[in-house]
Amino acid sequence: MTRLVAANITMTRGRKRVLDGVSADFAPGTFSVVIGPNGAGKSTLMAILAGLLTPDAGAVTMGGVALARIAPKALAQQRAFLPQNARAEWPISVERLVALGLTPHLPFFGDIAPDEKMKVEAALVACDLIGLREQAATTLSGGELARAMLARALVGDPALLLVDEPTAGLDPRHALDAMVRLKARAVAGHSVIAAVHDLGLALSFADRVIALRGGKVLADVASGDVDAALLRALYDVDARIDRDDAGVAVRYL
Amino acid sequence: MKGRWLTIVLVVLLAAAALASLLAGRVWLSPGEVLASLTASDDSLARLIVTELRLPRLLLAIGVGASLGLSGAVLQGLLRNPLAEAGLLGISTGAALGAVVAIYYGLAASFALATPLLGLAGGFAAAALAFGLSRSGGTLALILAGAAVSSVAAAGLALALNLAPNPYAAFEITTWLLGSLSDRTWDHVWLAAPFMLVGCGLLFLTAPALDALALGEAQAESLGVRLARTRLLALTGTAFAVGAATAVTGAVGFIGLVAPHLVRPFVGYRPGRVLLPSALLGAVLLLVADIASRLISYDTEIKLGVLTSIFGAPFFLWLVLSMRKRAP
Repeated sequence: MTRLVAANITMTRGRKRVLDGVSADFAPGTFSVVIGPNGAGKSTLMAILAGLLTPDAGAVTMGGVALARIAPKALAQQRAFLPQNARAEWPISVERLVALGLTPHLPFFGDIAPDEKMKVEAALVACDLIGLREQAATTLSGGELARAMLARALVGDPALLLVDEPTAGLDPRHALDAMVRLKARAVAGHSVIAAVHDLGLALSFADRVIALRGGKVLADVASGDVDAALLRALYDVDARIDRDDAGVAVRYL
Repeated sequence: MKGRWLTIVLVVLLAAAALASLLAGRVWLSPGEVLASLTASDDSLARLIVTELRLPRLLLAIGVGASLGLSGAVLQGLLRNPLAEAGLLGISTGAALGAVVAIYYGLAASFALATPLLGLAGGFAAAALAFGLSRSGGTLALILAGAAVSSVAAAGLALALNLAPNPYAAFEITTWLLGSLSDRTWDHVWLAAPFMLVGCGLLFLTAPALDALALGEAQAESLGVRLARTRLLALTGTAFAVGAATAVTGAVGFIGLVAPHLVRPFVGYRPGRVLLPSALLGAVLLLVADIASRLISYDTEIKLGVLTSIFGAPFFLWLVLSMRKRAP
């Protein structure tokens, strides 16, 4: 199985210690959300968990094997990573952009096979992109591009999905859609890790919350256990958390 | 589908330009004469012109044009910079400096292939320097390192011109720098062809990585692309292909810059799909320029590199203006 384990991750950038002894264990079937104030080290942690950055100390293992020892292509077949503010560098069509998510599954030279076309089609439908499929990715609005990028990350059906800020720039409906989709992947038995700023959305959908501050794990709890005291310690704000059947609302006082 | 048609059209254009290149020149030949001269075994004038002058020149033009077009397309995809080409990374300037050193020290007089050989060495040195300087950095570091290497090589060229022992040497250097395919022999073909072939092969290997790089470096890496390896392939391939091209023809500008831009809309802007058509178009453009340089008869021959610049620069200006209209 693709259990992801981070043990004692430490990362220094310049003189600043961005991550300081972070340990976490991500089991398949869980939707984990990383929260924390700006500069807490969320993005660095996501990049390290994805295997794109090598920590100064500590290690990340997937299924018991260190990420650094897995070939990039083999790793890419199992995990997808969507960084913050992903941009398209050329005006390729949305359909092509989404199909790029299948890169690790393709032979070195050669195009997409028919059954893989179906996967692209499904991802386009799932992310509400059918009407935009022929449009150049550089002409999309911020929210449309975010949806296209999410479809790109989902199209390869990764066992492990890491997303940095999947709802940034999305309107309420598409933000909800995105969270529903991430949650559904976890329910289907995959592992999903997302860094999210919108606490209401995060607490409504996540199974588990990792609160990061100053490069350290402040709390690692089930999302139902996040309380006002934790938010106060994390963000220095007073907040009230209302939980009901419709979800979780966080009000700042 | 559109891309396949583009390739077919370009191949037909290339064949037509290649034929025209065999026919046109100071002595005009008919297609029948060319065919007869290729099959006959006598030493007629037509046969001499075709086999000893025009055929090597034709092959060099195709090789050089394809190398320039291909490396331009690869570097633009790798750096995601529409201005990228071999010149931006100092590789063609480095090759030019190597060749000029050979002319300057008179090595060319005693050993005909000294110029292209030192040119090749110069191209490799420039590529190695640019790669070494930017190894720990990203795309911007590579562009800056290339610009630095290019400036150093250009300074070397200026110094060589300044110190030229006599006006004739200075003239020879300048003429060579303008770029030309005239008086190139089979020796040049045999010297440059293997390097161009290896270089183009290496450059084509970058295609899948270039496609993924349309998503930016972080996502490309997450998709299994080895960035450092792709960069090394692109630089080594360019050093081989463009180094060899510049070493035998001198500096020929704008082909590598313009060819990728011209074909890009026809392949849906996919960086990996630009490579083959860009190489073909580069070959066509260089052939046409070479034919034109033979046909425009002034007292002095208009050099190939001058022609590509005269037509390439305004075209590039137009391209910039039309891109500005399309992009926000």
